[in-house]
Amino acid sequence: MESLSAASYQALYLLFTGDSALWTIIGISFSVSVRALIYAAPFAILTAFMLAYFTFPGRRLLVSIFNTALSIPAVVVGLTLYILLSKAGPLGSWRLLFSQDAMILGQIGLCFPLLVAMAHSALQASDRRAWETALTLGASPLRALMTILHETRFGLIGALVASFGRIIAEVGSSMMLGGNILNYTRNIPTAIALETSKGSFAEGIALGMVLLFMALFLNILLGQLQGKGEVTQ
Amino acid sequence: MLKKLRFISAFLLLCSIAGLLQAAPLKMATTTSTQNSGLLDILLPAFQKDTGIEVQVIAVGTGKALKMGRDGDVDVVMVHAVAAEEKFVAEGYGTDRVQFMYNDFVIVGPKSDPAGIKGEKSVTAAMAKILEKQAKFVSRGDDSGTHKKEKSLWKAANLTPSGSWYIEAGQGMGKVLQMASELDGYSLTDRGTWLAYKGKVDLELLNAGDEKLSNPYGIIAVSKAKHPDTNYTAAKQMIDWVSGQPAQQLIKNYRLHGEPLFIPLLLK
Amino acid sequence: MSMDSNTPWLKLHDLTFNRGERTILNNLSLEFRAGELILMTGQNGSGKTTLLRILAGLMKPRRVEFEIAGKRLNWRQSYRFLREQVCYLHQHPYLFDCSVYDNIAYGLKRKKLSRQAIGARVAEALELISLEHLAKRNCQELSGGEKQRVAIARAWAIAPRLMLLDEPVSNLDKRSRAICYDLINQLQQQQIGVVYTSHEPQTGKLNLNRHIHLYEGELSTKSLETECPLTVIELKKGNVGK
Repeated sequence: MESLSAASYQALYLLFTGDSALWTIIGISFSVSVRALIYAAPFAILTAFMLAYFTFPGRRLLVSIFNTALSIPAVVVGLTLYILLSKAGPLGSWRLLFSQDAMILGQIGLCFPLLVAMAHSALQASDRRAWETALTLGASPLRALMTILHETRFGLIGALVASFGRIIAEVGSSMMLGGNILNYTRNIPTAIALETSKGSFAEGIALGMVLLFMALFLNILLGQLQGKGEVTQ
Repeated sequence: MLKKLRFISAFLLLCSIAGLLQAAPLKMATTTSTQNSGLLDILLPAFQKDTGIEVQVIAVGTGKALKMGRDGDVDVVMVHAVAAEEKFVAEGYGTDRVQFMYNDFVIVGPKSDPAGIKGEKSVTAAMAKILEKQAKFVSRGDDSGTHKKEKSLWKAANLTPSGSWYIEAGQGMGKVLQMASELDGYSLTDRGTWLAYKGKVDLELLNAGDEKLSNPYGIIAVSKAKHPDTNYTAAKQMIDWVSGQPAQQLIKNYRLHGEPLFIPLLLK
Repeated sequence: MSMDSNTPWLKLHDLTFNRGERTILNNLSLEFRAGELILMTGQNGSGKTTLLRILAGLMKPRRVEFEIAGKRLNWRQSYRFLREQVCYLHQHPYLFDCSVYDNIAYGLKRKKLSRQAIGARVAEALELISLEHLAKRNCQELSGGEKQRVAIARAWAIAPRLMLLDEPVSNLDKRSRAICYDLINQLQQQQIGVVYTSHEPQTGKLNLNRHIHLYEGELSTKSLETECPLTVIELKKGNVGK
């Protein structure tokens, strides 16, 4: 256990001395996951809104599909996209495999069902009177939608935070689709996998700590938001 | 009551230690490429038949294999990274190091061979061409034996690879071959993994044969001085056994996909 | 509004609404004049709220025909006009999670008015409900009566021709009720039509013009209470062809 404490100490040293290789990896992680979330969120929230506010044939089936998709393992998402994007696959001509774009696609695939499911339950629980009130006051449907999103913002931000937590810590699809390329597609989880395989535990622990701190921060944020959401309802 | 309990637990502890001593399996750390070559599936059952010692194999990257040796988590280490092995022994973590066989590395790449390295006798000249053409090259980038070999080759050619053409993957050999295939890049690989992946990837063997590409395997016992609880006796037995003629003959006769893979160094 | 108060500005014919197998509203016809105060009564589940929602352009009936400015229009052609001209207030009004000021300004912002114009109109609305001192307060902190008044002010601000109040006083105490009745009378004086529902025929101090009663999806005649000064009963039973 002596080597664990030594490795942790060295990990803190690396973090706080601004080890550039380490911070590059952290930067890639955040940039890829934030972009994935930005691309996925509008469509996911719109889908959730449609599912919550309108009835159409197949709606219940869609809700069930999104709820099931929550439990698809990351590697399955990664593998499916790998097969699609590989040179021999149907989308091979896009030449996206082993790029940040491929990682973003994988992470979108992972967070989309979670976003839809969580946003759907937030919108499902929202007050229908808000929608009618906005319309009767002369708002366009789009404007009324924005109003609903504002009214349910705590639940929606909760969905975003939870989704971000899922994709930034995910190793399976990032490794498969990004390829763990230094300074390009090496993010925190794939770097941890690599450092562990190399036996350099200090770097692994340092990166693990970043994830841990972030998870703690996001959970505190989420708790605060949920608390706030309860008071206003 | 307490005394009795203490006595019983001490007795149980002794029993379990005795049990451990009797059937103590030998823990060996080795590299994934060694395990993937399939050679161990021939060697280890033969070793167990001859000595009655069961070997537990932990296949990891070279760096981690040596670290496990340093931490005393295993009894014997079988790797292929000469410099790291020498350092490991020099620092007193290992003893009785023997180089008992070798295989070789090869350079593979896309059929089109954009850098024109096919037929180039000197591997360093071939790598210089790749750098000059800025043709994609996928490096292991994981501090493995193969990665160390690749770095030593660049160094021997007096070159420093960098730029977007030089892709440091940080993954296992098989994965790196898949990436080279997808990205139409070159890569340095051990022959064993190449033979295993030959049919599955869109790559060709383009350069081999330079003696700089030879890849000697070493086996090292973990130092009893550093880790008194290590199973040194069995480790020494293993080292003697692989250096012996029956094992050397097995290595010589081993075939992967119908091709010889390893050349024994101690065959008389 | 330069409209002759005796000419209906909105008529609807043949209104039918089904929920599954059940007919909620059956072949109704109605007309609305400027500044008319209409009391609508009916038991729970008689379709009062449904009728108000349809009038506000929020719900599509199975069959309807609107007559607006002499033109006969179907639902698709008229619901946008209804959403602009008619304002529906829920029994428990929904106030957005922001300040009283922002709530009242909500509809005005949709009209692309200047910031000053919005400010002036909101000030007028606050004066109407005498809640100027609460402008900056978040709506979650208001009492039930205050919420009801803010909702009325918010609807009034966009100057609708017709306001639909769904049981506005049923949950209010005596004092709040009085304020609310007062407000409704003021709306009437400003030539804003009001439909006011109640499941009890109690009318308070309202200057009712008409009283309609919904029973099993159809309108039926009901005489106004004697204390009402105006007793114009005008009911149409539209299921002539039946």
